[in-house]
Amino acid sequence: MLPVAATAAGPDLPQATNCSVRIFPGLGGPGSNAIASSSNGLVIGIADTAGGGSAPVLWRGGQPTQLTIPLDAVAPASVNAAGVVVGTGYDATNEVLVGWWWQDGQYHPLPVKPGDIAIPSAISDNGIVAGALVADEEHSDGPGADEDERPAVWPSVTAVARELTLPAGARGGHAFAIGPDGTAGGVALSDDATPVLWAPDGSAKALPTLSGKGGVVLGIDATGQALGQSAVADGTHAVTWAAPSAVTDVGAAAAGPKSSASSGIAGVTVGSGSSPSFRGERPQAVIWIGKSARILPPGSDAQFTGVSGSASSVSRQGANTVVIGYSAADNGLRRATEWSCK
Amino acid sequence: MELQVNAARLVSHPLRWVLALLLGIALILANFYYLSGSRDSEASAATTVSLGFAGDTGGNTVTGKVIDAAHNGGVAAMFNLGDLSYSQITPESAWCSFVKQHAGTMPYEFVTGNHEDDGPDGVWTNFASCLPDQLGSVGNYAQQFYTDYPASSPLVRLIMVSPKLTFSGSGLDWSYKSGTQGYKFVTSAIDSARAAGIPFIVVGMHMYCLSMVNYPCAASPDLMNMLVSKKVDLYMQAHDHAYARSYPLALKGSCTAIPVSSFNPDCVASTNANGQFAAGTGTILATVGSGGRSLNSENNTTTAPYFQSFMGSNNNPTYGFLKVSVTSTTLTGNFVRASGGTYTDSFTITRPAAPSPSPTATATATATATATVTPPPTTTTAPPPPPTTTTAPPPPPTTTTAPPPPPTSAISVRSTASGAGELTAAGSYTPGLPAGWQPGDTVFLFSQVTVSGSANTTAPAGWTQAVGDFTSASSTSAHQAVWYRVMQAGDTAPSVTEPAARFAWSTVAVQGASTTTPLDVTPATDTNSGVAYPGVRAPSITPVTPGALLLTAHGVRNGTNSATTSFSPPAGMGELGDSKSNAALEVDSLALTDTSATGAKVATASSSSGTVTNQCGTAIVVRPAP
Repeated sequence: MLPVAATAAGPDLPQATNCSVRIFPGLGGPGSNAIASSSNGLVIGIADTAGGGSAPVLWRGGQPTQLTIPLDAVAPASVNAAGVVVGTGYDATNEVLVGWWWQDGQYHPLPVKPGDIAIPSAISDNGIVAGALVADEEHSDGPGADEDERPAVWPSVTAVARELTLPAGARGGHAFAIGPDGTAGGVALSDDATPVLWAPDGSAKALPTLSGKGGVVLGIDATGQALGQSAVADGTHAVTWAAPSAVTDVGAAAAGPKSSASSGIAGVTVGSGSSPSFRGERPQAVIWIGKSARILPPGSDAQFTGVSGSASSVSRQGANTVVIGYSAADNGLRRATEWSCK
Repeated sequence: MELQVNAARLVSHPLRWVLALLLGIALILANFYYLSGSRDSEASAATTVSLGFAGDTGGNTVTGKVIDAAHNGGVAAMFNLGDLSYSQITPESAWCSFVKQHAGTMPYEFVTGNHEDDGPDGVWTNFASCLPDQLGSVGNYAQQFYTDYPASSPLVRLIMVSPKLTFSGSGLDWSYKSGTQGYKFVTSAIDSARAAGIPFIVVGMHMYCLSMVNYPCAASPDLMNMLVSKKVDLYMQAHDHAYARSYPLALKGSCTAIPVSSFNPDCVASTNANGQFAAGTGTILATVGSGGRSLNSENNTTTAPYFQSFMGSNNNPTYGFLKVSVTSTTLTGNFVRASGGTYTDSFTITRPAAPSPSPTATATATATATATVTPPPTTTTAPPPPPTTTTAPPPPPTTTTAPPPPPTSAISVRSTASGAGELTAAGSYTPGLPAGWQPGDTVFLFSQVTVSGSANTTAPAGWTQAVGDFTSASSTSAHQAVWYRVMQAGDTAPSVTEPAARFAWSTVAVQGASTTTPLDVTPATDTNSGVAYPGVRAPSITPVTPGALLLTAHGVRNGTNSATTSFSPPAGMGELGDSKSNAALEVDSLALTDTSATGAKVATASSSSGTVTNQCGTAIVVRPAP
């Protein structure tokens, strides 16, 4: 086990008091979820429609626009400052999963070699896409792609994916994050799960973990710091990797046994965690500023009472730190939520 | 078939009667040997039996670790949910040898996945040849079968099926759409298990329907909705290389089918944060594709709210299996780690009391598991349910039907049903009777109605009023009433006459109740004057007979017309029904031991919008049979 750079322990989590919360409007249905945001405040997610289904949505300034993607089960994954959205959907005609990108109202499939399926997870402001490839199976087997995922990067949305090198012994993996310099982050899977950073040349660097039982890189902030989660005895803790040789347990500042970091900007990390004294220890959106953690209380409105939540992305908008994610009611219904913090 | 041929020769032999006698003795001895020396004696001696489940295994070091974890973890038998070798070890016989090296004497069963139905990673018949059924399953082993465990006194029926798979040459429809042979097989297996008084039902298959990957239903929506409507306790699937476990799912309120591309809160029967659920409230769905093949990511999007806990390549990647431990009153699931991270999950389904057997318990159980064909199992045309068998139980074969659990005279809840709806004009509706009710059971019908005028004015034909209509102190539009009937053979569901109104109902079948005086004392009602949201109170009641059964009803009219209300049961009570709608109704039970006052019981309401709820409650003591 490699050295832990710092550990911040706290008995309980206070609520953030300098943040305003708002529930985003949806598409006429009851539920929604904000999945990711760009550095300039674009937000993508999904929302239930009045007709009873769900659809991908792009919020600009908090106002929703439904994305027209000619697929089923559409799930956007990431958006960048240029308004390029990436995600996946199911082509029912050809019975195959499709990775796609969208910009200015136009849908395009992500390029892949014959026999591969694209699963994009993140797109950077300079247009690099990180994700995974999986072998396209016999379509008569129906939906699904149950071969090993192979981590990959698309240098641009119009370029064929380049597979990333797996560490020795790994059988699969997935790149979930892309940094500003083209560094990708994710996980390599062998008998264990190893958090990995892939340099722009595709070479892999395994990262240390807290317990020696695995971890995952889920985000890379604008300074190049990787963040995500590392397994501990009772679950996972949110961690950051400022350098490839040191892991910082920011999740210890969340008093619950399970926390995870999903996104960050300089000095700020967001994700999920819990606290015994807040809403029955339900999972909550959490913001870490340095070593200090705060719960972002779930939002509510006249028709919805949030009792739990999670944060998925953070960006700086002027003087404010803006976090997006979802609030969830006691019955599980989710609503896309924005926390704006001074 | 071979036995039949030999028997035909015997009857014409001069010493046929002697030989027949000797054969009979031999069969009896073989039967005794099998029963006494097999899994039955081991399992029935224990109060808990544990079974393991995982699919998408491959043939690598993790695959071995998962089997080792099961073997060393007190699992009596392991079930592979399909996608076996992935050609990581070939041929099929070599993979079977690998499995046996790790499993040892632990039976290792499987249902076929899409990688070995017609290939490309081996063929299921070859796997079945080297890993034959060891549990006396009924049906076509590895394709569509069920087994009761332990066989001598079953606590759980395991039903394994193959939706969406391709079995060339079988000539059968494997879509599991309503009305197909596979759909009928499952419905029959469920119904016969209930009739036999088997406490828990588990259904497994390879292909998923509702999942946390961004694919549509790969299996059969009809099958999934049928399993949920029949309140199967646990429904397992694989194909998604991860683990995800849902809250109990139910068809209630606006949820007439489980949507797989959006989330409907009405389809969730309970959101207990600790994973503690009452049996009969819903079906827990578990994806267990963590058996050894590399994990994939799970997506926190459209369908995620159905799931209480998940693991994948993006969340604490951990290989392992689901250990399902069953007693007569509980089914507990634990995700057991074998390699990788530290993920855990635990949930428990609890029955208020063990059901007693049905007098028809043996009608369709395991009586036909007698064929002596050798593996691999054939792909003969599947018979209509209940199925006949082409499986190969381990020698010597037995014709013994698994006996039902011993009868019990204790009063308990056998089964329940609940629902809600709206009459747009004055008329009637038909609440469902609890599944598997038996003549002599007392069935209680609880009614909650939202309407500004009168309601619950007429008892259904043949039913007796237990609690006359009364209303909440905070609104005369919130009505509650209760009727009951001592059931007779041939009874059908009642017709309830109401005005144009929204309504909720629960029916509760109580076994072991006095058939002459089911009501131990006069039921008590509570208008909930001064009770603040979210409490919904049923009053204290004092029984006169020890060992009685307390039933409480907690009803509300939601003050917001479009809103619905769900409930958590009072502390220490078992939830029997939670009819989530504007007129919402919670029914709970508690086994009483003495004649002390029960104390008020307060359920917790959860309104989908607002906190104005007009509450009322009832307490009934059901007298045990003398």
